[in-house]
Amino acid sequence: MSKSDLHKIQLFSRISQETLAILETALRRKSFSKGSAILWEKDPCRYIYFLISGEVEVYLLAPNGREQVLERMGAGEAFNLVPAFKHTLNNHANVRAATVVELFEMNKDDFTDLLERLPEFSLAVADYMARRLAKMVNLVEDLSLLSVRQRIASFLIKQADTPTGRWTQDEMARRLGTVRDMVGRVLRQFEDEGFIRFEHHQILLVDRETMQKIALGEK
Amino acid sequence: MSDLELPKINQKKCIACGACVEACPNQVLELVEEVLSFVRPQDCTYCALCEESCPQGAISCSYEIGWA
Repeated sequence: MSKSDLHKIQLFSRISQETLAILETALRRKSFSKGSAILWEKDPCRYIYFLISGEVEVYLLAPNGREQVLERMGAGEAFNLVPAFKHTLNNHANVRAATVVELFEMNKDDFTDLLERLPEFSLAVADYMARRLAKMVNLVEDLSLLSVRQRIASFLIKQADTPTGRWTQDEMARRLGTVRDMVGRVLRQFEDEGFIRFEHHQILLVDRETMQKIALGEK
Repeated sequence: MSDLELPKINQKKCIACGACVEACPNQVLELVEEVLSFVRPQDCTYCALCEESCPQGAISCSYEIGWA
């Protein structure tokens, strides 16, 4: 197993070589093709995953089939940690490969065993989960308090500042808790108002101050 | 167009209804023997009207997002 791949994982970045050598024995490398399912909501939790490369989408399905994408995660992130701590042991969400994905998987029992044996690992997991929780709080805030127009503006600013790949209108809709037509309509409005510009496969934001005002509901 | 970028068509979802053919302002798309095809790809401006017109969600345009 390549040491450099281990160092790509955020959760392992500050862990000593000694502890890393123990963790390494519990990791198994796997790859997934674009679009394939990695795990399903409500299935028993069997593995924890650490993304070496590629991107995954974490999503929930409403009874009417509508998807809510909770997060798009990239290289270095870890997922399916929460159910490993619960007695019910079921996965909380669906995860699929948004691109070709390479990851490490760790058996759930090995994970809990290593948490008990390695305080350094436990602290790294707690730190990582605290940061993930803060991100989820932001998402809940966005979905519950902001209009679709505000959500789209906020999303565009975040993507322009820290791009995480290319997005279709449908992917934006699923990420923002709305439908594709609505995203298309708001993007056209922004274009007509001169706030964004379409240049072939690029959406270019013209003015940060205006977009921030829209995101805050002031425009 | 020097950097030819075309919308993606999911032929499994496409029902060959022709809505996108009607919507395209540059006649880039046509149904060729009931299969949606790019007949004038060089004229595509990636305006996404085909995507917006598709009732099946069979066409998608992906974008990079950045500052002008």
